[in-house]
Amino acid sequence: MNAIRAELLKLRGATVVWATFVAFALAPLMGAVFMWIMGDPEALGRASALGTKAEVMGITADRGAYFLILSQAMGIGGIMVFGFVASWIFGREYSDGTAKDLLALPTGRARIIHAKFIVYALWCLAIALCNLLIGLVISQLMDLPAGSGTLVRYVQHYLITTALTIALGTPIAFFAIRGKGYLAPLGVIGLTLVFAQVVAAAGFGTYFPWSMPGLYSGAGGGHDLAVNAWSFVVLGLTSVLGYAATVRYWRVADQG
Amino acid sequence: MDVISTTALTKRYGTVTAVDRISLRVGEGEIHGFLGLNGAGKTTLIRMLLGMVRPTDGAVHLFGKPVNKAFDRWNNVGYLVETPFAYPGLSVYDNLWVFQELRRLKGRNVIDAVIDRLHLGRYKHQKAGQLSLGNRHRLGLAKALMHKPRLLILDEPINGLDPEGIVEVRLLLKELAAQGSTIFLSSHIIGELAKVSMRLSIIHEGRLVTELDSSEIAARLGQRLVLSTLDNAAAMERLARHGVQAQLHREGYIALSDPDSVRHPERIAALLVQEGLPPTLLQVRSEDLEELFLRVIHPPPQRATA
Repeated sequence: MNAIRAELLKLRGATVVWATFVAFALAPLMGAVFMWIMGDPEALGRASALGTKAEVMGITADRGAYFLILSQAMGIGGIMVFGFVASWIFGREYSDGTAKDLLALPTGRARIIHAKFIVYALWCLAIALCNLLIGLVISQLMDLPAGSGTLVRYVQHYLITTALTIALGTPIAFFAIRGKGYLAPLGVIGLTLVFAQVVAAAGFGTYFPWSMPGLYSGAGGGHDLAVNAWSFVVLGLTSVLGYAATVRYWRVADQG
Repeated sequence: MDVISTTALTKRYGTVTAVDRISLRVGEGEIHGFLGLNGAGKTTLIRMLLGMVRPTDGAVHLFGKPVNKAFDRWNNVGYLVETPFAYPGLSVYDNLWVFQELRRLKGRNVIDAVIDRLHLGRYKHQKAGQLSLGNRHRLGLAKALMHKPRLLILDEPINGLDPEGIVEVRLLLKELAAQGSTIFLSSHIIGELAKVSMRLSIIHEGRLVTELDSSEIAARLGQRLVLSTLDNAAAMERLARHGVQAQLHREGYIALSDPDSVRHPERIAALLVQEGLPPTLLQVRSEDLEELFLRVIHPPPQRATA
């Protein structure tokens, strides 16, 4: 608990915390604009490109479509925002020059890394729940029709997409401590986003961890077609390997 | 019991040997100065003492226990390695609070006590990123001292401090040693180390060149005759003609190290007067620590004996 308290303390007054919340809160707001245009034939007429896209995707102005947009924002944008969170939590110790202060303490090195991962997961979950809350309020205010599913099903889909996206932060943490700062992990996030698009477009996204949350969220046009049990296994293994590599590197590597 | 002991401690990075078979012993209550040029291997050795860098060979023991993953005495050790850094967005108080948690220290007074001791009260709620270099140093020392460690390992603790800060640190170290703490202190600033150290180790190119205690230091400081004339170049030539070995110092004076000249400066004065070059300066001086250090790390070549 001491290590978790210490990690939470480090977030005090950090502008980056609020920046991630604000940046990600754009998703439900943009989704609301989308729903408003879809629900207003006059506005839809003016935004013809959007109307065509919506038609191709089979999107209608209802709660199901709105939560699908939220899940897709999570599956694609979440990789970037959560990756940034992992880069900051793990890379800052090197950028701030404080890493060496964490290496010879009664709180073991592994505990400090576990605490960082817990804070990372809590931070990302808080962003996701905040967006979910904003989404629920907006859908209520806009009085969107229920759509083809239940609210519980929409929320469940959103939360599973969130969990898959959070799980992909562990390799980013490894690159942050291996690269001793922010630059390497941010580069890796950029590369994974490009590869996620290319690999998914080539039809192999099912087995590429960074394509998987997007495909599951429905960005590929129906998650049940795009992912299978092996997709979850590959993503899970990637996450576990990232976690183990981060802990091992921090425990045994020379910290010069 | 030795608080620090290293046995043939070695660290190699590829073909470069940063620390070469160093065996050291530091006893309880001792202030041990560790002197070396920049890049001599001081920081690498300190990182090995703290388990941050794994030795290629040899062993480190603190309080008689090997420093490895199972080492459990870290709350007896306080340290400051090179430039002290802190979380720039957190206040002085919050920075210390983070380490109170990580060191699992109980008590509400722990932070305030160390803030008072390091005279950081005025800056308690100021963000660490806005502190002056001197106050950042104080914060680094506060982190190292907040748990009242029995062993304090400090790497270049006075770098960047103003004269007042240097005196404060010196007094603090003496006070801690008087209370029984052991202090291992590295620096390339000879004068400062000499003022506080009870024992001094000199490291050069990764090797331990010599170890001296304070009484040995005085004994090892040589003496020489320092003189100057209106024409030092001509004086050097005349002295050489009379078989007196002399060196023209880079600061402009002539230095004579042979014991006969040091014992009888009047003979040298008479010789120079006789040559029409009366000395304007004639003084027997003790070698300073800087000169001793340079002599130790760059020993003069031995003369061949017939």
